[in-house]
Amino acid sequence: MTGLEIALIGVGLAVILAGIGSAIGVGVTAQVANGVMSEEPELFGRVLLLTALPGTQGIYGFLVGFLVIMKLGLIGTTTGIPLFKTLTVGQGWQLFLSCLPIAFAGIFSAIHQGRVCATGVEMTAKQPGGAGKAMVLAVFVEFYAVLGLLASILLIYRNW
Amino acid sequence: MRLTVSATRMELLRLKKRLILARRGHKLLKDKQDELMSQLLGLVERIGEVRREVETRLEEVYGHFLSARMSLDDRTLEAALSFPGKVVKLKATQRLILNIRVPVLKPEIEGKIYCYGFASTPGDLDVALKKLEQLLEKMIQLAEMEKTLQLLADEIERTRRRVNALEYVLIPDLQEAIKYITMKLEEMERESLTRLMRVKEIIRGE
Amino acid sequence: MIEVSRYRPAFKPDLRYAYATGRIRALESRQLRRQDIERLIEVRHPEEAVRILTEGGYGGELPRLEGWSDFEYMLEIQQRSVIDLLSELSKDTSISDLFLERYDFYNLKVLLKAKYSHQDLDHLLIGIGRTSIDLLKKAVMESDYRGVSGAIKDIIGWVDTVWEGMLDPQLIDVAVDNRMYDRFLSIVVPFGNRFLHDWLRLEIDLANLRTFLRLKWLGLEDIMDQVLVKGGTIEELKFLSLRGESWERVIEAFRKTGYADVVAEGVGHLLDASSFSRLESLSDGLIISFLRRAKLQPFGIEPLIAYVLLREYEFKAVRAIVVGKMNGVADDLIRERVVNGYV
Repeated sequence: MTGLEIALIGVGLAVILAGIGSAIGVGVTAQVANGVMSEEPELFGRVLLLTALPGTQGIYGFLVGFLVIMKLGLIGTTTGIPLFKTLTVGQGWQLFLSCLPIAFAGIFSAIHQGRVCATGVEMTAKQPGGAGKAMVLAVFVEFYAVLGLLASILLIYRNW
Repeated sequence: MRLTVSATRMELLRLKKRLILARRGHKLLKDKQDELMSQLLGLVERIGEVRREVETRLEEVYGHFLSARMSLDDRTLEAALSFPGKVVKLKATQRLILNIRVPVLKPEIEGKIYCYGFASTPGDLDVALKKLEQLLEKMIQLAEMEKTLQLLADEIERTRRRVNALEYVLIPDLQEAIKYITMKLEEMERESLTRLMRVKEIIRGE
Repeated sequence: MIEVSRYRPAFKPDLRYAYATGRIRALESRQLRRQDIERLIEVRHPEEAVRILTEGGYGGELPRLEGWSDFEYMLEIQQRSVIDLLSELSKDTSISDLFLERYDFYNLKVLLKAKYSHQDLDHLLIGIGRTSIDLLKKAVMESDYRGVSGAIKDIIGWVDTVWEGMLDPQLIDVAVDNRMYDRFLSIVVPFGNRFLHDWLRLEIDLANLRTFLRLKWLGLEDIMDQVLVKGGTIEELKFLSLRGESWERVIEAFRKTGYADVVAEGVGHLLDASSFSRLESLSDGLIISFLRRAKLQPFGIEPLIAYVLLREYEFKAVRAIVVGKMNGVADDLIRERVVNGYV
């Protein structure tokens, strides 16, 4: 395997795992939201944000993947020789590992955030004023996805 | 009203006998009426007691039944009670009070009163039925007493009508008729006396 | 022994119920609250109570309610809509069927009674059950068992064979009740949901407890071994060994169980006022607080089941209030009854 292949597997993992997590998280929340809205359609506005929140991890995963591709010089214009032409196996592994924080933080935080948001939607059904508080709690989970994102970005943009 | 009678001595005798008979009958009926009256009053008192008791206890039964109804819908409650297990047969015989036939009710009760399952009915239904069951004999007794009362009252009514008929119609009529005949007879006597005196005078005058 | 006050439900999240749970939460917000119940209790005329209920969504599809005779009809429509909701949202048909089958067993009782007492009791049938009334009728009247479940067939067969010897209408109810619980256990136990199993055992325990106390009060302890339902957490032997014991001994015997308060207070009220109402509202209250534990469950069949049952208890409370109002029962008495159970 070449360094490039290894780095691209990392990109894939970041996008796929974080994406899976978000899909599950949003899926659960959206089902609950549908249930609530079938009885209380006017709650749409309040549950919308909660339903969208577990989707952010997928975006983070995609962002990290995109940054790695940029770093490799696969797209866009870079001065000098693009990195992917000179990429060693060791550097490939480094990029691969840089992707892991958001991949794992993404999948798990998205699934669990999905649950938090789903129960938040349940709570909103009971007390429409509770949507804000549920948001705050869901953001606590988001925090760890953000940490994963930060770790990945820092690792990608360290000094080579 | 005057009885249409022929003013004869025979008739007078007959009427006097009838008057004596009527007076005796009147006295007898009057005694009977008094006796019936005292029976009636005693019965009324006893019925009042029993009735009050039955009513208070029935009210209790309804209270428990209402409590059961509060926790069960009408259909389920009706379904629970739709097939009663208790059979009450009443055997009616008669007894005589002063020659009046009054009923005697003898209940023959068999089977259990609790005809439903326990898991799906409220307990206050048991309480209501238990109290109702204890009350059953009293209620039958009350029915018997009230019927007797009614029969006694009818009889008193009838007797009083007879007493009144004797007292206010027959006896005064008889008395009047007797008086009339007596007067008529006296009149006739005086007439015949006068006639005799007149005849005597005529004979003497000749 | 199920200690409701310390019950920690071991919920397993079941994501198939995410939609159902969301819908249930929205519906739960429309259930009558404590202050609604208070308002109902304080109305002067029962018509007013019916009006409050209609405004609160009880009217449902009814065009217009015209007083008392429609009140039970109104509750029946609500009952139907709750059962329909359960059938619609349940992913485990065996469990939703269990709730429908309750009506089958009820209809079966009515039909068996109609058969043996030679009456027409059709007006008492409820057309919600899982088996259609026509099929049940055929099974009971003509022994044509097509389309009815094995449990129903067993009951009909059993009653047919023993009827001549006993001629006791109570037999029908007892046979149906006992086999109904057997049937429920045979559905719930293999289903493997602890909450459902515990709920059913709680129901059985409390049903047995009430039956036990009723028989004891009536002095009919000799039939106890026939009428107790099997499958609860209290051993049948425990009840049987308490036959003929004093009330103090009975209270003592349950002191260390989760049913201590129900027994002690229920028996106290029974002996004071010759009424089982306290016992029953306390035992309902215990089941209600058990069911409320399902509110902790984010997704799963539990919130759905709990919602259906809690709605049924709500209907019961509403009925107690309106019937009490119709018959001029004092507010405090109604409140006492309803508060223990519902609020």
